Amino acid sequence: MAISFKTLTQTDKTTSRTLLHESIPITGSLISGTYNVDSSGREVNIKTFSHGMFQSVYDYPYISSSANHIFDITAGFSTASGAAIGNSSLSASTVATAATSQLSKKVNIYTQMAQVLSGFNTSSIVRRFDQDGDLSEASSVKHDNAIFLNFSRLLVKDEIKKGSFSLELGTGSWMTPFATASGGEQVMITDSGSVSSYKINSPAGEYGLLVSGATNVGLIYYQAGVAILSSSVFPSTVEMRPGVGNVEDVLTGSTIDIMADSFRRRVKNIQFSNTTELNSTIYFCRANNTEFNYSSNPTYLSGSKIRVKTNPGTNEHFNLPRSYVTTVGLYSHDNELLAVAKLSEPLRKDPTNELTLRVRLDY
Amino acid sequence: MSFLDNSGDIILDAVLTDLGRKRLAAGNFNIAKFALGDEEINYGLWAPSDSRGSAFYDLEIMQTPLLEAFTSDQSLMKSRLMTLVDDSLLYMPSLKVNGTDPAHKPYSTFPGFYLMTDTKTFEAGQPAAGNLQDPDAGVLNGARGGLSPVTTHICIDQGIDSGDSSMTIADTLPGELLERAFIVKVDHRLLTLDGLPFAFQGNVGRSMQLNHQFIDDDGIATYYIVDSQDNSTIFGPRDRIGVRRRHDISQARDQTELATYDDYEVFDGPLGSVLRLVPRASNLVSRGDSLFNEIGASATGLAYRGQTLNYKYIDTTISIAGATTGFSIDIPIRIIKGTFS
Repeated sequence: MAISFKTLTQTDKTTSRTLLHESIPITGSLISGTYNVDSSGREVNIKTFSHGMFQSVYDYPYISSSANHIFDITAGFSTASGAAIGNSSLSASTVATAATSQLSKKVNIYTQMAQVLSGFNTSSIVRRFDQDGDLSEASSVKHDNAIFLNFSRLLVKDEIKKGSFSLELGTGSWMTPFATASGGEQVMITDSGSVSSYKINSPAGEYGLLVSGATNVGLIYYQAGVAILSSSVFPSTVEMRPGVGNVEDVLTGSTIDIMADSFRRRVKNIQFSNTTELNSTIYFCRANNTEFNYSSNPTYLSGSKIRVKTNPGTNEHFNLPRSYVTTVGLYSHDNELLAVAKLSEPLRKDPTNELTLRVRLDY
Repeated sequence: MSFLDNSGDIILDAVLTDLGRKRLAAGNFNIAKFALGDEEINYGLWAPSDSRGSAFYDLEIMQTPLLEAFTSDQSLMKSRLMTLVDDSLLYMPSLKVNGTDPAHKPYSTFPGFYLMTDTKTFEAGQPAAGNLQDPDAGVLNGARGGLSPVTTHICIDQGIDSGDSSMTIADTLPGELLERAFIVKVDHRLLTLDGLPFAFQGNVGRSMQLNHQFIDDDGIATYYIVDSQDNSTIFGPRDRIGVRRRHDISQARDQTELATYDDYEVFDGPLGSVLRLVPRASNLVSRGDSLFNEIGASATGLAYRGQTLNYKYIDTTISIAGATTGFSIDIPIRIIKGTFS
């Protein structure tokens, strides 16, 4: 009996897992300086919200449907007592006391990020972000005043590749953020040590330490796609914003949007590699020498005679049948077409050859 | 849908079909079998007279540029490759619409059949008094339970055209090529299908509703019609079917006798199975106009049963493929609904 379907056995199927990485460069000029400003004084690729709790950065004016969301910026501080904060450049109690703008929103942001990324202690109290990730130290140093960079899933995909993150940041004054003369410097913040020593004690997955030289200045959560930067990365002697003051003054006396504007202006470059986890099923479609040598293509016959056996002067009955494969169809038990694979060029099939076509479906 | 780059290694461009994605979402995605297709190939490019030698006979076929995969489950794998045991086959059967008798003859000015959606349309033009004139051949009654007095059904024959060989209708089709099942696809919004199993005695003219196997995400219903023992609408090569005399055909008959038996056959070589279908208008088109307004058109002046009919119509096809050989045929159907003032 003629058959056109061949059953796939267990040995014809296999699964695989592949990690794909893409390099994601985000230049500082895209974050600040490329696009015109609107009536609010912000670039048209920066979206702000009436609630004022974060700012979104796009790669194109955000009202355009072509714009892609890159990341969000926000900032906040904890409400811990000064004694518990140790040597953080800003004491949260000081900040909380001094804050004159969006106090509760900044605390809420910090608490929200901390409970998601750092989790709770055994007393169900939110853990603050620990500088070295060692939660066993009762008096360890915390990042109590933080700037959060929440990267879009479009860029991060499944996770940020460990050891690939770098942030070039100018810590100088508002006017000359990358100049050392203004009291700051251009620092390179990376997670370079995380390839071999990342942390796994977060409820949000794996994370690494962001360092500038030998100093821990933040954390990066790989699966969550969030970078946390301590405000201590900016020297207190540097004017973060004209008319406002240093980073502490901006964090306490200005809105989150202004803090985000001040930060964006100082970003020279962000770079990381993302990771996409591809789970694949591979189907080995095997055509043995005796199989698939005829076709039901309407052009296969002339009248009822098989065209490819035509060869005048020969005994055409004994010419070998042949067909040309262009497509592989994968079917359900009840013959429903579930997937299709196309070859880039026709493959000849006749009784003298066998084909194994490897069809991979990615999920 | 662009062409695939064929300048380097052979690659496979795989996608899930829309149905595959639907199955994936429903949690019943399970690939169990595969088939190979060759729909872009034009075997007419086979050039056995190429003077450069046999390596060049299929050169143009091998140079066919192939298209990217796309996701419609109904538009791909239209022609599949087949496995047959016998490598020495030179002739293969195909499918044809049998129009040798008014009972299953296509409409004279249309490449398929007219289907009247309801009794009112079918009987349009009935004079106030006197007998109703018969409709033309090729006009089917789409109302459930009704059959036209002229054309009752669509008849699809399988067989081999002998061409330049000496095969006749008395020769037997190889068993592995005989269709014992057909896969029929119709737009379920427009049509359902009946079979016409009683072809010789008792219940002749009584159709029986067929059950579809499934309806896909595009609304295409698939019927898997099998040659069962009882009440089958598939007939064998030597079955008695109405006026046809297949049951009298045998190798013992001489050429003169055989010539009298092939009047109702469309193949002059070995005969295969016969499928008889009666399309019925769906409730959606028999009771409403919305689909006619959306995907159809209006026309006036159809000469019908001695009157002139104004009507709306939708053109569709019934796609029939042999489950054994995979050979297929598309039959155009014009679904007609009268517009009456």
